[in-house]
Amino acid sequence: MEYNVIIIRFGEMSTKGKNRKDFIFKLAKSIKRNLLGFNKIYTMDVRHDHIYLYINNIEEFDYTPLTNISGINSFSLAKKVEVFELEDLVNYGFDFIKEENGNTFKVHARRIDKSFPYSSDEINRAIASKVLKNTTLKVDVHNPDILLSIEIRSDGAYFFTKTIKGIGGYPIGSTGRILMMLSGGIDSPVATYLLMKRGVEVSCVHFSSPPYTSQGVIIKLKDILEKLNLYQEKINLYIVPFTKIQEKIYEISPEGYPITIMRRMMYRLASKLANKLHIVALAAGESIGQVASQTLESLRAINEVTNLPIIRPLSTYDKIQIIDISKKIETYDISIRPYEDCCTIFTNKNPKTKPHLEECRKIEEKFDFEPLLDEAIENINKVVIEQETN
Amino acid sequence: MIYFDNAATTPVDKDVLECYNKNVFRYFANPSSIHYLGIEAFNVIEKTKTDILKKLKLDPNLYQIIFTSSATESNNLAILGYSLRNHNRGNTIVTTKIEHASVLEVFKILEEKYKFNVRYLNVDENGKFIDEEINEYINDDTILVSLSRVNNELGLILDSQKIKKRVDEFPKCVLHLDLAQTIGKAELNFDFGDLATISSHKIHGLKSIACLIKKKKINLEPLLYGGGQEYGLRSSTMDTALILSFKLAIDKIIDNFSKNTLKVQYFFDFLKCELLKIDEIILHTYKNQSPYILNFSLKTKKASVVVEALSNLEIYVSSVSACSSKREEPSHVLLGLNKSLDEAKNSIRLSFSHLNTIDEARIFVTKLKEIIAKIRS
Repeated sequence: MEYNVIIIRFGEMSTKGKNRKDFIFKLAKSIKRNLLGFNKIYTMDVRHDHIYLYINNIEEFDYTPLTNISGINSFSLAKKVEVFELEDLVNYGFDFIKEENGNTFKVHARRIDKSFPYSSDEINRAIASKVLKNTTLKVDVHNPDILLSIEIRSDGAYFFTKTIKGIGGYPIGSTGRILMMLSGGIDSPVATYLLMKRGVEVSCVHFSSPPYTSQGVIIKLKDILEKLNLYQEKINLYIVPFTKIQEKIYEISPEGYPITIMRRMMYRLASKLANKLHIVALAAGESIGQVASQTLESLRAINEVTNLPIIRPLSTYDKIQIIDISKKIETYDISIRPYEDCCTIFTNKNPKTKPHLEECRKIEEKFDFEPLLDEAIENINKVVIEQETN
Repeated sequence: MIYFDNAATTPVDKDVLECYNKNVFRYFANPSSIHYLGIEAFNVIEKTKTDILKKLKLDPNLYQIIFTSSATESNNLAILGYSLRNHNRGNTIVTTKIEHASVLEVFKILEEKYKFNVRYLNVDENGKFIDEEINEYINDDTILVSLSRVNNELGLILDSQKIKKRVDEFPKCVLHLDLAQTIGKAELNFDFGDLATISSHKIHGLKSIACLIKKKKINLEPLLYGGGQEYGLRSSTMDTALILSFKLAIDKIIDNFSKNTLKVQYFFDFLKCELLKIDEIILHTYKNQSPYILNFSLKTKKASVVVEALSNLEIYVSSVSACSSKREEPSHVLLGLNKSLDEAKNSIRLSFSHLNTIDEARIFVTKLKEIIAKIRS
């Protein structure tokens, strides 16, 4: 079937009330941006339940960008025909089924326009009868090879056999902004992707400790964010100089505590930066129990330093699940490049899995870290990673 | 920018690039074509081979040149090509513990896959070998000995003459010298042996061109099969302009060797003197040493961190280990000279060219001291 319209279905919009219109508007904007190259060959019709893209030249059109837009639950490649008689519906329906390959079929009609004089069931039966009489196809209502759907609206009938799944979630930017702590490992890019998919506009912060960390890490981060540009066209990356603070931490922390103190300092810096950027929440790629700094006790010790909500999209994910997603979004191969986010000089042989809050506070009393944090914030380097537009 | 990584690769000489640009249009034809343009290109290549041999004071009646894409390929062709072709003559092949990967890895393959008996010679700090080892390893069963004259990590000059003398006692045994780091870095006052590797990009030439010099009477098994170029030993269309540019690079490096080396020796002596004063540093310098390479280890700091810190100041040097907990491999060369694991893990190689200036050396010393004082152990 040669399609001339794409029916786009929304994600979890049913939970929305009065702000539903904003979500749909944001999704429409997001679709327009992603289909920039085709703006001359389609027209968009935004309705309260679906978005319709009328394509006037399918040969030059490519629908694959739609599979990466958050907020789209699924979309169907449909043929719109302006018919209003049962006989015409039957003829078209029969023709479309005939074109498809398979042994079994099912017709699934819906009347959006209830003024249509025949019920959905009557339409289904009428089309099926003609198919059964004139072909060798059999009916299978549970698992058909060919599923012909028909939506009858006041402006015509929409036939489709092909429905493609989208990534779901909410349109980008519709659920606010977040500051994500990005290391460059496997987990943090996946967490970033999950946030974007949920409609959150993500800015990223990275803590850099040259010369203990390589400049290669920054190149790596840029490459990762370029991959994520597919879901969010413009991503801000804030690189915080962390060397001085890190050296100080390792100077004063007793065995087992440097990592906890380091994470506390990172969260303090992230909070300061978020406040400056008027961002109201932080995010991190931590997964419960994965490493010493990600046990619940550690997370408690770390959380204490900020009162911003911290979203950890991967908290309950297994490493295998995380790797699967990172391969799907093509960040895996970049993440495993051999630049560590933190040099081995700063690795601790026996990091505490159950750090004590009191102990953390006591250690931090040993030095006046506020000026160091402020200095780091002052010297942040901002990089903007943008989708290349042709 | 200060570039002290000339043993990795050198900046291209302007004349060399100009030579390439000039000839790339003039001699674009395939040297294997039988029309005039092809024959013309072929003749230019043949003449260039003779010129290169003469420049290296080798007799064109005895030696021939096979152009390859890299020193690695030349080493592979020499070692694999000779060993596989002459396996019926003997089963022992010999190299040293401190060779470049493009030699050692080939020996490993020959040992594991082709069941050769591989012996590794020890080298001492004077670049000398142990007589007993030479006599034991190079015997009736030995068909090939391969070593570099100048070691790529240390600049240490090996006593290849001693090996040559022993090899000559066994007619079926040949000597391969990897001279990629020797041309332009040390005197060529030694016998080239039977097979020798030279590379263009280590001497300010373009990349992707190198050659294997071989005695005509030696038979090799090719690595590549096809159109039968280069006496059937290296099928591939040759790039006449690239070959001409390679010859110019060789000419320039040999003609200017004394002048360049005088400058670099002064430079080397200055740095050696200054680095000796730094407590953190263990110098690896030798009596028989090319002044173009200077290697040292750090006592307490990590080499990768120092290299990164220098890199951030646009000073480019080399270390074997990368800043990664997973890939912290020590230098097999320093281990081969019986240095400690810590020294082998934290060594830094400086390698120079005539383009470096004494001011750069001064800046380097100052910055290095600052970095050592600043970074954590």
